[in-house]
Amino acid sequence: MKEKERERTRKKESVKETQKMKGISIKVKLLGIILPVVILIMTLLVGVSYYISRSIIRNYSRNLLSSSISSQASQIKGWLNENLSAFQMVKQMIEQTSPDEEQLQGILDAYCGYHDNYPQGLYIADENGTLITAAGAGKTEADPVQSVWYKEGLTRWNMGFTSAYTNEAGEEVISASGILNDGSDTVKVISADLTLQRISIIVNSYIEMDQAQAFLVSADGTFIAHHDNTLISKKLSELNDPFMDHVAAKIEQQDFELAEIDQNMTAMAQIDGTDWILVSYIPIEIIFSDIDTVRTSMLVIGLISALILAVLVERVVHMVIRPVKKLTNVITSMTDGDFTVSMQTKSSDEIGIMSRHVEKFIVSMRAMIASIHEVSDKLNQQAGNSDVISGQMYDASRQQGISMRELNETVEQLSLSVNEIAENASELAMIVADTKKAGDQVNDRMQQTVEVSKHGKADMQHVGSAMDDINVSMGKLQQAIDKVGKASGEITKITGMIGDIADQTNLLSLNASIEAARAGEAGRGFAVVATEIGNLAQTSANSVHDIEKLVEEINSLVKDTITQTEESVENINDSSRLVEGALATFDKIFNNIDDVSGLVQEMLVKVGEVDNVATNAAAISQEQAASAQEILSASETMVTQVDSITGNSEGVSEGAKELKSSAEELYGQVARFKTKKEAGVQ
Amino acid sequence: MKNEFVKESMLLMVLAVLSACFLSGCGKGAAAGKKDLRIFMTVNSIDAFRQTIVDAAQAKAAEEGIQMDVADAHGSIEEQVEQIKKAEAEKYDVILCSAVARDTAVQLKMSAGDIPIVFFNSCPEDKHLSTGKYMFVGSDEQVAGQFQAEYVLGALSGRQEINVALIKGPKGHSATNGRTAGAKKAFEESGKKINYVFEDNADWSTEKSQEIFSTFLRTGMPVDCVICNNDSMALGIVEACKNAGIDLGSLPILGVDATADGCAAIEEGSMAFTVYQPGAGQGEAAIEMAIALAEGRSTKELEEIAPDGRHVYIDFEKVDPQNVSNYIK
Repeated sequence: MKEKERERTRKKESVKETQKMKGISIKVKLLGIILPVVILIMTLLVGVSYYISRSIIRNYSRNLLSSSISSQASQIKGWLNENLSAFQMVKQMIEQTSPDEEQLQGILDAYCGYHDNYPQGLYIADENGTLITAAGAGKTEADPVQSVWYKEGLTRWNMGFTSAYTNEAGEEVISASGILNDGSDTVKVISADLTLQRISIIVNSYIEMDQAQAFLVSADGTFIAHHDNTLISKKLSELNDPFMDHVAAKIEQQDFELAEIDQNMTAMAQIDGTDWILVSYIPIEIIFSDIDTVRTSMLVIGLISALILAVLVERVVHMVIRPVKKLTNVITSMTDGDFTVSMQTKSSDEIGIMSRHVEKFIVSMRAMIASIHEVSDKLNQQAGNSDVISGQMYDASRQQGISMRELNETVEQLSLSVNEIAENASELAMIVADTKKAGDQVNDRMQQTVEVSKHGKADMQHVGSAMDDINVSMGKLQQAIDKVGKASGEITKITGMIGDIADQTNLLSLNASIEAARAGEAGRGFAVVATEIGNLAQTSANSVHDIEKLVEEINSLVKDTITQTEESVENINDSSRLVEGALATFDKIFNNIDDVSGLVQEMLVKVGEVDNVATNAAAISQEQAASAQEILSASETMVTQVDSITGNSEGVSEGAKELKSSAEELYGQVARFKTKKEAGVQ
Repeated sequence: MKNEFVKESMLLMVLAVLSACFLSGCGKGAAAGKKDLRIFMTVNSIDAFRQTIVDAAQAKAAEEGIQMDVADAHGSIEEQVEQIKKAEAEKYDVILCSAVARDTAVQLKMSAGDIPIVFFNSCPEDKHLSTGKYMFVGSDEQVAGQFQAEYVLGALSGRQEINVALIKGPKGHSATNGRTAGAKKAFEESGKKINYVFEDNADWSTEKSQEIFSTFLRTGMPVDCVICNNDSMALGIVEACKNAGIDLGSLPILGVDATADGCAAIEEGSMAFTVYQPGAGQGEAAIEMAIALAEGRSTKELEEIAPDGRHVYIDFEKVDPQNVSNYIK
């Protein structure tokens, strides 16, 4: 449950992510980068060129205004000096000619109306208040001595300009006046008037810079010339105009540097020879009006270019991005497991290649998912099967465990049996060893017997030859017969012993056969030997029987011989033949004994073999016992292993169950992928 | 991204600046050695004062092992222009020029071609000077006028209203303008009421100043002091006053230049004050500046260089009856 919830939230997050991703499309990003940069560059370009143009125009205007004002100033100076020189010439003429009153009047009259700059011409006043003017000049002065021109004229000999004043006729004028030294004792001042209106016209006519304005002020800040005539003779400070106040302040400080005052580029220049200051100014907005137009048009062009560029970029990006959008949708569908979508394109650019590859991918994915479908289906079934099988396996292994335990017990018993066999084999080996010893004894006796027999044979042979001596040696015969009797007794004893041995051997072989049979495969060889031994024993027994019979015969023959000997010595020939018969019989006995001896030796060899075999069998049995022990422990290990197999098979069973559920889950997961169009699903 | 853009543009700017510097050729080639320097000096009519400048300059040039040729223009602007043209043709390294008329500065510069000019004695208008090429050595004329006004204000400290007669040099002469302006400025700053009862140009002339002042004296206007732009004119005033029977002890007459006659007049009590213009110092400074210009060195290292970098001002010295003996040769 929890996992499902987690998955759900994960899905939600991924959906959110994709939504976020959709929020910032490539188009927006590209536009977001390109447009600000373009706008920035354009703004910078416009700004920089505006700034540069502005400073160029500013410098240009400064230079223009400077040269304008300096040329204007020198022109005004020239104009003033021209007038002043004219006056000075008249003055010098008067001073040098020292004319009388009439002549003086004539001179003054000559200059009346002579020049329209000074239509009244020159006039003279002396310290007594006498005013001499040209006839018809109309110049009046109530008290010439107190007039501005007179008072100021007294301060120089060379004529110079007075300050501005209003004359009696009500005109704003300045005068050029100076002391007239005509040689008389009376102090006289000669003067001529220039109207400020005319000066204003002159001042404004000489402005060289378009739209610039100029005015002339005296050092104390009084307007001498201004295009607005009403201002003439007024003080700068009277206007209550910030610009004029600033100009007045600058004049006060004698600071005639070009400056920007209250949005006016202002130049000032002193008119040489006077204390007048020419002020020329031009509003900055006029200077910059052209550049402002340029700026505006540049801004407009910049804006339009930016807009066109924006649209162009938007269109281009849109065209370029469209397949990407389609691709994005396809990939988004693919991410959601929908492989029913298709990405067809004819484009040959990178996006086209990408689309084709995606299409290939979709096709291959479809096939793959289909096969995964099948596989998971099968897997699901197989997991079910495996569950069942593992259950069965568990049962089987449990069963096996039980069986193994049983087997274990059997092996234990087997082990015990093998031990027993081993013990028996050991016992047998010992018996065989005893038998061998007994055999050896028999052999010794047999040898002795053979020796005796040999002696007997020789004796018998002697009998033949000594038959002649029989008569004489009846005693010897008696003795010999006794010896034969003894030998027969001995033989009987030996044959008895051999019979015993044969019996025992037979018994032993029987026993061995039985044991061999019990030992199974291991005892097969042994059984053969045992049988052989049995046969030998039988043969021995039979021979012994024969020997006994023969001995009995000998005994009876000996008795007969004795009687016959006793009875008949004459029948010695017969007896000879009898002896010969006996000899032959003895030969047979000897041969038999020899045979027996060989047999016994053979038997002894066999018994040795039996001993070896029995020893081997004992060792083998011991080994078998050890093996049986090992088998037992192995079987015990097997039991524990089977137990653990049972446990494991229980785990396998559980695993199979889990596998089954996993397979089911896998099946469910794979089912999410759609490879075929279904009704109602795109 | 932004950072990269900024970095890139800064890099571009640095490259642009470097290449601009490279193309324009930072620094200039070394100038001719000091020993090979040739200096031409043209002087507006050599008078007593200008002779002191010439003498000092020649002594200094000799000391430095520099060849210097001096020509007198005899007050003729034509002659001066000819002299400068000749100097240009003969490829002098620097021209020292005491302009006959300060208005001719543009013509003088044109005639000199590429040769730098050190102006002395008469200062051309500011706009015609430029650092490292056309410079001026002299004394700040305004200071001379200022010293005169200060003397008067000190001598007449008890007066609130002073009647001043101003005898000026030729119209438009830089010394006339500077000295007059300096005096007027100092008076104005004193806050006292100053009446300029007489103000006229006597063109450095003793005779003319005597004539015009005699004329003035006839007006009977009250006058408390006479300030002259130079000693020659002051001596004319002395004569005029003597002729008019005015007590020179009660009328201070002031001059500028501390000429021999002027100093003698001060010593005898006819003149009250003069200002010594150190012509020798100007001559030496002119040579130093000429060497600097010829070698393409920065003129900022020169002593007494004004903040505008175009003028070197040699200080005036006050001369009054107390110290006049120091200035009599």
